[in-house]
Amino acid sequence: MSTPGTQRPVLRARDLGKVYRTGEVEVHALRGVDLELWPGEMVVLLGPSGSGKSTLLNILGGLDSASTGEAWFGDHDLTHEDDRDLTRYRREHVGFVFQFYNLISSLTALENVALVTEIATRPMEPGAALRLVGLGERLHHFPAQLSGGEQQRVAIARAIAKQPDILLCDEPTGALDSQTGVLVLEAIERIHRELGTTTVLITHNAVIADMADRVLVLGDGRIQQERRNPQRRPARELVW
Amino acid sequence: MNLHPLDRKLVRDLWRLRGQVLAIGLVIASGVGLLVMSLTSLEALRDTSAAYYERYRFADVFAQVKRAPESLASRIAAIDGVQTVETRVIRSAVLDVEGFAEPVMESIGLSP
Ligand SMILES: Nc1ncnc2c1ncn2[C@@H]1O[C@H](COP(=O)(O)OP(=O)(O)O)[C@@H](O)[C@H]1O
Ligand SMILES: [Mg+2]
Repeated sequence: MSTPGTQRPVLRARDLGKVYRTGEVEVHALRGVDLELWPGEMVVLLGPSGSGKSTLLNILGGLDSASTGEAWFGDHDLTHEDDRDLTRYRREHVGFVFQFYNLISSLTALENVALVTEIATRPMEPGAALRLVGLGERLHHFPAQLSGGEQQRVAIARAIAKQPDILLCDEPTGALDSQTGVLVLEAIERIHRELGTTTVLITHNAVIADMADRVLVLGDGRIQQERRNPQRRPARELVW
Repeated sequence: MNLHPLDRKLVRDLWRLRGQVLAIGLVIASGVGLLVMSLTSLEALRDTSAAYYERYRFADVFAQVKRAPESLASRIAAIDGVQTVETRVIRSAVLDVEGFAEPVMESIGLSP
């Protein structure tokens, strides 16, 4: 883990706000979020459903744009970039993992990962990415031949095969039972340890927060609480 | 085989949907076949009618003039596209025709 002060943050957000307009109705999903992510950090974003976690992650990952405030990746101002620049930012710097795996069903695990390494600037070898998540023996299986947890690990391998600067995971264990969820968290933990990727993990499960360096609790579109775990708990020890 | 993963996906998806792909292909093929056949028939009919008109010297247009003196004939013949000029008077008249009880109206041409 890196200490603030010695390095520049990977991502920085100032007073981020997001308003969704649906006809006459305005939903304030974010109401002024300040945030810094440091190189090599593992941050868990905790909060109840509807608190704005996904919205925040999507803005940080360049999938969505903020209504107000600023977000910076190094020197890139994400809030003022056009679609083309955001696409390049996502492609070169960000790995996403979502609750649903979004694998292509007619491609094997290896091919799903290769799809990304084909367009990445400094990719890993797809097989190596899958071995990192413990799927070295399942390279040629199709998604339908893999369990939910295994599919999620393929999705993680796909996200990190391009060696992103930031790994953003939105409820990666949301659709999994706790045993399988732990395996997925272990994969994320191992990647964080071996590649040093700055990782943000969204969850509404407070237990998972123990594996983070830092925990941000989001509520009602604001960061309600920030705490630093004196020690990270290995994913293997988590039970819920 | 070193296909791009997306090409591989395409090949596999097509193979998986081969029944539908085949059916759609057949529908398109029969549609195109029908169109070609219709166009060919239309062309043949046009050719046939043109050949018929030509062979029987059947005019595209018949035109009559009223109260035209015989001297106009040469000027009418000079009009572009006029093939034949016949100078005669055509009038309707009631005729007695053998085997018909009712009177018969008929146009009769009288050559001068
Ligand atoms: N595309 C959208 N259009 C309208 N409202 C949205 C949209 N996405 C999210 N919201 C609203 O914004 C709020 C925050 O949503 P979200 O960021 O998905 O929360 P979380 O991920 O913490 O469950 C919710 O009230 C949600 O209904
Ligand atoms: Mg969410």
